[in-house]
Amino acid sequence: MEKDTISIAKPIAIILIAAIILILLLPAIGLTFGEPRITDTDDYYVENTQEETGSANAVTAIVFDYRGFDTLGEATVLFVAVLGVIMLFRRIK
Amino acid sequence: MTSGLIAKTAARLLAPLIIIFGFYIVMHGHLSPGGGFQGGAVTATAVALLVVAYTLHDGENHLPSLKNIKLFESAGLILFICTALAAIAAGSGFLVNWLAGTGGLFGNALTAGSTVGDLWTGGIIPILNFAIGIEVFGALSVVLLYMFKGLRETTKAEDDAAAAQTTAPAKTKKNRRNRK
Repeated sequence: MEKDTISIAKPIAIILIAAIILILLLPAIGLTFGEPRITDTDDYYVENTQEETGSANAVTAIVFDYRGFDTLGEATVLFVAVLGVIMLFRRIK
Repeated sequence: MTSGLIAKTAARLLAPLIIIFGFYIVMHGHLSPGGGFQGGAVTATAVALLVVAYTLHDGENHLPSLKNIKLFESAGLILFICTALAAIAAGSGFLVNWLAGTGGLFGNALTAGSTVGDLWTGGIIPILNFAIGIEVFGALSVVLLYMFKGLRETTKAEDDAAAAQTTAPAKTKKNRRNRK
């Protein structure tokens, strides 16, 4: 009995997930890749990164200067994740 | 699992080169592709290589102690926050790049446009890169070492005994019948 419900439920679940993904992808119809409508921020970074930060690599300048708080958060997340691993794998004496 | 002489020697020779390459990626983060996260991950690979080639028990002789690696990790995060706070002390806001273009540490002026790059540019960006680099190195190494500590590693004698047990009885006829 249990086996029957699983064999029926599985295809239904797959169809449902596919339908949800299709619905979520609907707004993407007609979008072209590589031609964003609003480019003000991009242009600002490309034009001013080298003068403002003195860094030749614009990606690093954005990660560590314009979006420095994000990097600080990432470092904190990594730190806390390691704390969790240490807590899980410690040996209790 | 124990590994042979070739693997151990190769790991011992490669590990310093991997560490140097990782720190090159960290320190050139503001000039070329890469940065603290990528370089720190590369550096942590050296620890993984040493721990896999040697066992954890022997490999720890070739590595900094776990306490020092934890210190690296904490020092990285503290250095990041202190660099960010130093900007307030210098009269700007939190995390402001106050060193760029001042002529001091990492303060050389950058020639605009496509350039090979000067290592002493970027203001606080190289310092933050270094902080993130040692933090990621410490974090990944600590994760690896703690997970290896959870495994029970077999010694060379136990490996030989297990190998002898699996190969030797197969020669007798009784065991062959049992297997079929």
